[in-house]
Amino acid sequence: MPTLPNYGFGHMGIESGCSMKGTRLPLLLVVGLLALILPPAAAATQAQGQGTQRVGLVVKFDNGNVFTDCVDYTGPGMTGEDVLDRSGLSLVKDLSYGLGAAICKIEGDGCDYPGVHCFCQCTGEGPCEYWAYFHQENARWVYSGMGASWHTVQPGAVEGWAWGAGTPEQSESEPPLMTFEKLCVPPTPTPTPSPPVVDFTADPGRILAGQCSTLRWSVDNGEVVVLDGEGVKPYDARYLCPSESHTYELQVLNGAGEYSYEVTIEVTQPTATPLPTVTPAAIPSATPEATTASPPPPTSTLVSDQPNPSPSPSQPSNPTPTQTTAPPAVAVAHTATPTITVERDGGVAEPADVAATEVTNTQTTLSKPAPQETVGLDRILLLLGVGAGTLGFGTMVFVVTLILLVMIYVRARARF
Amino acid sequence: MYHTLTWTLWLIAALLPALLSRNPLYLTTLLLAVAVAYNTIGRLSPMATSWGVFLKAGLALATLSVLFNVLTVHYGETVLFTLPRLTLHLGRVPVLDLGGKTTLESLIYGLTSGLSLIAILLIFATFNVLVDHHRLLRRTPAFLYQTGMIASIAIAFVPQMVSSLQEIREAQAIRGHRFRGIRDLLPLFVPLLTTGLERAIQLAESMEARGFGSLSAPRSRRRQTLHRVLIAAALFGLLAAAFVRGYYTKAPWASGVLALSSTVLLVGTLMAIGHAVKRSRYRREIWRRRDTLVSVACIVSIAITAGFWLRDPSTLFFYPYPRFSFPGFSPVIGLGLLAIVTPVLAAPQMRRHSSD
Repeated sequence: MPTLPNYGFGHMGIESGCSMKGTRLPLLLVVGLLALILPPAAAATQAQGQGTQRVGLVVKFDNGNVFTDCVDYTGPGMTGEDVLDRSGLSLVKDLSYGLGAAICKIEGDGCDYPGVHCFCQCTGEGPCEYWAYFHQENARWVYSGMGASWHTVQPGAVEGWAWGAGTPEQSESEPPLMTFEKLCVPPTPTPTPSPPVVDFTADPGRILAGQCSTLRWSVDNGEVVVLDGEGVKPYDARYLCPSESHTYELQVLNGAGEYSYEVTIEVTQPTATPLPTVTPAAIPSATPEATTASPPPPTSTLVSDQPNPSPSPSQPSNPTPTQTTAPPAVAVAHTATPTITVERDGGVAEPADVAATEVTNTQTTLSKPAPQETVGLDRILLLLGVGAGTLGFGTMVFVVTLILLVMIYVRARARF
Repeated sequence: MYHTLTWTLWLIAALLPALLSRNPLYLTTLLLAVAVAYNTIGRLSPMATSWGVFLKAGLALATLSVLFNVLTVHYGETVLFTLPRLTLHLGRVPVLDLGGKTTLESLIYGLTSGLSLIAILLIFATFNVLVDHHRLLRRTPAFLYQTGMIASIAIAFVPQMVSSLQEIREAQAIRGHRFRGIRDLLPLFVPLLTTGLERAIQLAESMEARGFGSLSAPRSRRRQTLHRVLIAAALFGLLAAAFVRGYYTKAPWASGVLALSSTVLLVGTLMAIGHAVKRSRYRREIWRRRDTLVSVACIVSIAITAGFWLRDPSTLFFYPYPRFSFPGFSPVIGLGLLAIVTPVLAAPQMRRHSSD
């Protein structure tokens, strides 16, 4: 009779059937695993349904400022530390004890661990100042002797933190008392303002010259009404007799924004009867165009101390050609010897000082190093530069140190 | 190869960064430097095989450190994965909290803690391989000569006990004895204990015949009492200095003066006790030029590390929370760590079987 292989669960041979002993252990393992997984999964499911449940937070700083927040309750197992993390405040914690987190600093108040001790203000001499942790119970603050990592919160709870003097058993500083309703009551939604309702008409819209028309408007839900730049009432009318076609603009402002409406009264000029003299409207004076002046000649950048000539439009249009001098480092790259000219009054170019020319000339006579010697060094330096830029100077030094160690090891192994 | 004091300075120079820093870059450099020292001059020692034992022990401890940190610390902004959480409470007091969020920061903190443990273990393992134990014990201060003698005897007896154990096992195996359980170990340990006691009695008789344990200048009762009082006062002074340093932070000079004076008193008293003990040295260690070179390098390394720790400790610190950022590396500290390999650079070319 063939037998099944023994996987360590007992002999599961066909002749003996599937024994209960062989299946008990795997069943126990499966049940145990389910017991581990299912409660957190159920808690997660429950937490999803508790998305509207919240926890309040009050933090009082050293200068008296108070920060309040209301965070979502994530489910069973949420700790006071989680509440503080969800508030968005910048925190510094000490986790080196392995017993949860010690809050060293919140925003700007506290100690910059690990540079200094987490409780650097509690070193014996003077008042001991630290971040004290409170829970709100029965409308009063209760000092927590247990750390925030170990205290689990419930929906509707209010957590408090206060920076101040105290002892390991009690703090002298408490946050201001605030109820959960005050912290976590959702704000009433403000209604969105609607645009104004405007009726803007001209009756009649077409008139003959000399006739008149009534301009009417009615504005509902408007705060400010302006007609052609003039403030007017929301409900009004004007009897107008324009001499020519004119577009009237009505502007209405309210909380929703600014709205503009236009109505045109068209004035038709009669052909037979002579038109009355029309006073010409003031034609806006044209801005005088700037006379095109000849572009000022380019100014020269001098090495010497000669003063720069000020550009003047009255100078002749053909600018004096000048050359800019380069700083000494750039001059080395030029193959031709740069010449320096100075433009004096009258536009006469003169050669620059001899000293500047000599400086420039000597720079171009630098001998170039041998190309083969610098190729390897250039590449190494380039590689180091790229590496330092990419990885950082410290990391590059670390890599170089490792390479040195490897080289020392290789040479030493050859000796021993 | 080197003087015992040189190796002692080397040990201090290597241990100091491992104890004061958790920066993984410094620890890696230190580990590699120690490994270079072991793999070049350490391999020549007959104790070279013990290095592997320390390495395995270090790796096991490091693995435990990583696992413990990852499972118990749920802080950090970079969440890798989430495990099922297992909590155990006794009333409102949480006793166990495993699983939950597993963050990169907690993993890195565990790794750096493990790296620090491995570094310390391997430094001691390498020192154990490189130094001559008998010469080291001869360096025991005179006022501790009894402790040094006991340690020398223990070190000499351990390999003898191991070889006796092997002989007894072979003898019992030839007689048909099989070691299957704890009860079968009795025929092994009884002969071992018997031979060990016989050997100890023989050694005691020979030491007494040679005059071991006798002082050439016995101290008077009054002098003994004075020495004890001075030692007690010096130790109390050191304790008071530690208290003043912790409590009166605004006057650090007071604790420094107290600590210094207590240390001077303690060292002076112990030296006075040591003068009463006459020792004969049959073979003195030679201080060579390479000892000066290595000692100077180690002193410079100690000065660099101690200087940074006193003036700018943040350079040595590494804290991955709340968000991991790549650690820095100071070239000066790196240079100090490279001093660990100066024994390799200054060592003469050695033959494989020699350890001196």
